[in-house]
Amino acid sequence: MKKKRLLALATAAALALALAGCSGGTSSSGFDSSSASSDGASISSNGTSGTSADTADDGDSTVIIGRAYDVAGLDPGFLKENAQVVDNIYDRLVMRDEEMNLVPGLATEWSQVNDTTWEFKLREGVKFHNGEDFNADAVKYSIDRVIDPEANSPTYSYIKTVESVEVIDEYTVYVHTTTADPLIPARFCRYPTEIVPPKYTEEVGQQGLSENPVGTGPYKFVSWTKDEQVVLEANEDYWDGAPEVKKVIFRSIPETSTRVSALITGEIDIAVGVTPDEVSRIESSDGIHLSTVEAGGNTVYVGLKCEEAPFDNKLVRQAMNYAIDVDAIVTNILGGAAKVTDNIIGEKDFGYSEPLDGYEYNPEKAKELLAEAGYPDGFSCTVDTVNWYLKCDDVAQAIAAYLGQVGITVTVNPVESSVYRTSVPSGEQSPMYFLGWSSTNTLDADAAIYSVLHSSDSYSTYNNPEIDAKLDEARSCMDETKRAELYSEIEKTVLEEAPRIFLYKENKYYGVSDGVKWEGRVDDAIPVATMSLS
Amino acid sequence: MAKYVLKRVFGSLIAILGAATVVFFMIRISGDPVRLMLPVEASEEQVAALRDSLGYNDPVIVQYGRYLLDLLHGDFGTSLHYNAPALPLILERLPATIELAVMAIAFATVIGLIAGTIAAVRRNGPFDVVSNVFVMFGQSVPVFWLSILLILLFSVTLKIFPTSGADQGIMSMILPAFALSCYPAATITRLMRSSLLDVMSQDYIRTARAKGFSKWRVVIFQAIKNAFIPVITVIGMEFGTLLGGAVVTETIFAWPGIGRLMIQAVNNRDFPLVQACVLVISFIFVLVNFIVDISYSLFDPRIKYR
Amino acid sequence: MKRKIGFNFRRNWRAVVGGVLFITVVLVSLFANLIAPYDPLEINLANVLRAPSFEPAPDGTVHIFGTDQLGRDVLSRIIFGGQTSLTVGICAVALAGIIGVTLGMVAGFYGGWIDALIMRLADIQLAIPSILLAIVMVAVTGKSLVNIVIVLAITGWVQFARVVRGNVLTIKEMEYIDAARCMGVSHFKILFRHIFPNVFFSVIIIATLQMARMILMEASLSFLGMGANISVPTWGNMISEGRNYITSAWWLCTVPGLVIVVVIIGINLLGDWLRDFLDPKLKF
Repeated sequence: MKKKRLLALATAAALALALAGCSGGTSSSGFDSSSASSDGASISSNGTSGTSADTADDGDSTVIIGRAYDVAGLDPGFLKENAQVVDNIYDRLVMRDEEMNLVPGLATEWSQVNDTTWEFKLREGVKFHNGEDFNADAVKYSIDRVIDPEANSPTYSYIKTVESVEVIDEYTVYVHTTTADPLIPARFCRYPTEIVPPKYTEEVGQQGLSENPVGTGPYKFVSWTKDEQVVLEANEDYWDGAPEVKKVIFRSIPETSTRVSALITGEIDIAVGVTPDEVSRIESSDGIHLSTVEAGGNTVYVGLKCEEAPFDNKLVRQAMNYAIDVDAIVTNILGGAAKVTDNIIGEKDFGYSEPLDGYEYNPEKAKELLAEAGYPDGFSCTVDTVNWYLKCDDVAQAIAAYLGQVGITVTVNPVESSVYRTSVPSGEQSPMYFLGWSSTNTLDADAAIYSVLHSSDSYSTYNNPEIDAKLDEARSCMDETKRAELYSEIEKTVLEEAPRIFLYKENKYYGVSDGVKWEGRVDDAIPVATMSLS
Repeated sequence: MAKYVLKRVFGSLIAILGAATVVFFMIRISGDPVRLMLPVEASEEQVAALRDSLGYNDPVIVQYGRYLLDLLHGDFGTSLHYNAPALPLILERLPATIELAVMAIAFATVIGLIAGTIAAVRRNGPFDVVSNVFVMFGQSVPVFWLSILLILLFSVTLKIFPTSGADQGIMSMILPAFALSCYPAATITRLMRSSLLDVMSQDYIRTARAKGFSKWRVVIFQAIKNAFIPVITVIGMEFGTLLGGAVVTETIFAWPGIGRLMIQAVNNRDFPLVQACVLVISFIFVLVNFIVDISYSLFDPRIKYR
Repeated sequence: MKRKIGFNFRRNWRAVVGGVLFITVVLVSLFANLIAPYDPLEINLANVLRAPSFEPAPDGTVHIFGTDQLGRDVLSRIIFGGQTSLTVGICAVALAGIIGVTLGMVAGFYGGWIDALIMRLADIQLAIPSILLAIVMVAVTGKSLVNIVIVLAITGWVQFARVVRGNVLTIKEMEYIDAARCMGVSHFKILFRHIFPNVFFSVIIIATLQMARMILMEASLSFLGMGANISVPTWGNMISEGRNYITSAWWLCTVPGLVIVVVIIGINLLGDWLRDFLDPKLKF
């Protein structure tokens, strides 16, 4: 590596000299000569860089995936971002198929022993990439290191109901929970429950595992160049059969337009996180196509501080919902990149019952409600926005314009992302604020709504004892029918009470090369082992 | 001279320490890293516990003392985001940033010197006017706009260079280096032109001209060297800035340099990493300026250091 | 070598072109209310991302520079944006210039520990990333135009100080300065009577360079969410908003980008001309 750097430096100097030698004309011709003289160099450099990722479709079945961010580490118990990369290296006890059903992973079957105990039967004969055996001890070890309070795992809260893991025999474990938790199987298909090799992890420590991960998954770790790429190769001995794609490279390309350009030129095969503005470029280019996950993103809404005037008045909150034409916003500003909905639970989530539509665009009704609430002349307030959601600033300005038409003066206040991350959970945001929430890969209503509605949670600005009670009951209810009923009731109450301005659920877009057969998934995962090449 | 160098080294150490101190306090005013380290839905107790275990509950002055002590032991801290020692994280990215900076400043200097010289000698001629327009364009074009257009033209349409990344050696480097060089090239052109005009009005040049030497000969053998002195300062400063990392360019071209690391660290409020970045960047900066000052006296013996 | 009396276009074309460009922009910005065809903040979702054209839109309005992602008239936004952008740029350059020139002259002239102190301050300043500075300012005091001016000035003074100091180092070794000293002229007088005029044209050049940088910096700050509030259009936040549409609606960042280029060209031409005018011996 060092040699390569030096070489590049030397070439840079030589090129600069050559440029000095031949350039006597204008500054623009200086650039022409530089591109022309290095054109020749590219042929030789292509020849020498065997490992480089310059040819995506050269028959050795490599797939290159361009993401906006690099990983911060590859230890699944201590992730600071999603598990798109590590889930190819490690397995979970439970997995999801393409229809989002829970299917056996490292566990072959699971069942409930009593309210707070689950039994998992483990797959036999599975080995880690370094030859270590997979067994019940590995499961216990992997979970213990995350739930250890000293360890401060950033994702501990995803499995905080887990009290302990008990080894019954070599291929059976009991998972004990602090309270009844109907979601245990779903929790064991999601980070941080990936299974790591105990001996190896003890030996190299958390940082060692993070930089040289070893799992049981379909891909083995090859290399990680920070802020550049993570390279994986196929695990030919994978328990579910060797994957068709033999090599995967996850490259980080932060700028969306660059990522899409790289897809168009064939430097990458899949572009993750395509924005609506780039959609038309992908659709009009040959050899690539768009994979859309309808309503696969966050449910975006404008939160209202329901205990502060004037938002403590239900009529005001309803009026605001009537005053805004969300359809027009989605069509004209988002270019149709979201689904307008008054549901708070996603269609694919457990707990979703029926489409709700409570508030059509009706400014006259909004004015009436405002007058009835005692605000015939409206009022002024501020809405906070953040760049986490599609065109948040633009949407906020449009909302401000709509509210302005019924007499409510709204100032749009864009907040810097890292400040927002602190101000919202500590309740320091403006009385109106943008927030998006989803069930992520638990695909359950609990994750989708509990944190933003339960009065005890730091993200909630709503206090309704009835809703609190129902949320708590649903959280530990083992009867699926009863749970579904509870969530349906909660949704209807929330719609009526309107603690927020209901907006839409964002779509997700992936750009995919025609040579790769793969569709974007609701759970955000990119299981490379499920891809095939044509 | 030796005494001067010694004094400068001492002053440089103070400057580096000063920057580290200012940043230490500044970043602590700017926000809380603990919230950012935990998932969005983490509870307040979790936040409090982690904050305590990382020592961010102590008075800032205690934290500062601890930081200085660690520095004395050669400990630059541990990145909160990467959970790894901060210094190696920076040193890993330094070569990429240096390569890009060297290439960009080389482009800029060559373009600037040649264009500036011709513009000065053929003052008010057609080249002067054309180069003037280019200079102003180079100084006023937003770098992200230029960068994206460069990618669309040279990567997507003409397929000459890769769009991004650093895995194809010199080919990967040309577009970002060119985008980066525009501003310094324009600055150098202007300064070279005006400085050369200045020099050429001096008596010794006039004397040389009066003796019958051709204009170009005088320019090349006498004037350029003297006109170059003020330009060195600017080259040094621009180079120092480039070495500090170019956030926008590195982001657009997915270049794994120190600028991207820095902006991520600031956004994550990764205190130790930001502090270490600032230490390294200020060290480079001070070093470059030191070299510039020394080279001043080489080019212009009239400047004396006491 | 007598200066020609009367107007010579070939010699003064810079002043004419630069002056006309700059003054036009200033006047248009000053009288934005009278000139702008539409309200720069009026949102029209039925007419978003309309390409520049002289044809009237379905609702009868004409947008020669097109409309943006919220259907606002780009021309009107440019005109109103000029008010803010020019004010911010000029104030920031002036503030940076005053700080930088003073410190630079003092450092170069006195040398010794004062020089060392000021130059170390400059090093410290340059070593601190301006983005960090901006984030801290915004986090502590909130968003405002005054904040932007301060951040820009703090990041800009060093350039003035360094170049001025470099010039002073050379100038102060010259005979006439020595002579002035021997005659007992006060330091203050030497600095402002004899040295300042000699560094003045460098300052003008740096100022014109900085003007461009300030306007662009304002764009990067907007881009990072630390610029002026989005309810006030500025050229900077127009460019940074338009950046997302660079492949689908080119005019959104190209039009304000070109306006910035034109303004900078105007300022630079004036600066160049001023420099030649102030220093009449430059007639090679």
